[in-house]
Amino acid sequence: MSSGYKRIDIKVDENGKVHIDTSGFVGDSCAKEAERLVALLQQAGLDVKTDKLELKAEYYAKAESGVKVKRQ
Amino acid sequence: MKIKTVNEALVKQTMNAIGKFLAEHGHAGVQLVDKVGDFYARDIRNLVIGVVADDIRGFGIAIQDGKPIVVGDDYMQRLTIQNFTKMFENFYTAISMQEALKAMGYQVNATVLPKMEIAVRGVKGAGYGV
Repeated sequence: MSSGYKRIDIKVDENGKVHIDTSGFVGDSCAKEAERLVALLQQAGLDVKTDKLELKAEYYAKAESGVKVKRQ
Repeated sequence: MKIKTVNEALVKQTMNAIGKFLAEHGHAGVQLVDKVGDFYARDIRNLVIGVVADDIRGFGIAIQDGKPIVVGDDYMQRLTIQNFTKMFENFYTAISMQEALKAMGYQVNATVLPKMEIAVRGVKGAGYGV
């Protein structure tokens, strides 16, 4: 079962470009979290555009819920 | 500048962080101020906040047409307005990132790296340590 640990590492480089690396996300939860982050940054007045998106192996993994649902 | 609209609270938070950074990196007498002069020593209008030091005559952030601009006088100064602008943009971006991550429930910390790069880490979930 997943521990629920999630990490987002961000580097603002010397030219002001932002590099974001995530870990602990499964499936498209990472993309959803990134969308929330971008929306909040736009609210802060930043001009945010995605230059390059690299999907990691976790993106293609299925979520482990640790919960089984029985159908009656 | 990559900042399209001003969030004054974030501008002040950013200038506070810049003030601390400058004080830790060889600038004596760093102070945040509400008045900064231009090359002709005239007070700049619509200033949100400024910073001065023994070797910094004054840089600040003003609002022009709803957008932030870096103002000040760097004549014969070690820190140029170009360098200050880059510092402000990078700190503002990093602080915006930290605030956004906090709003999303992350615990955050940030480190200023050489060449004015800034690393921000946000963590949440079981058994983390920032």
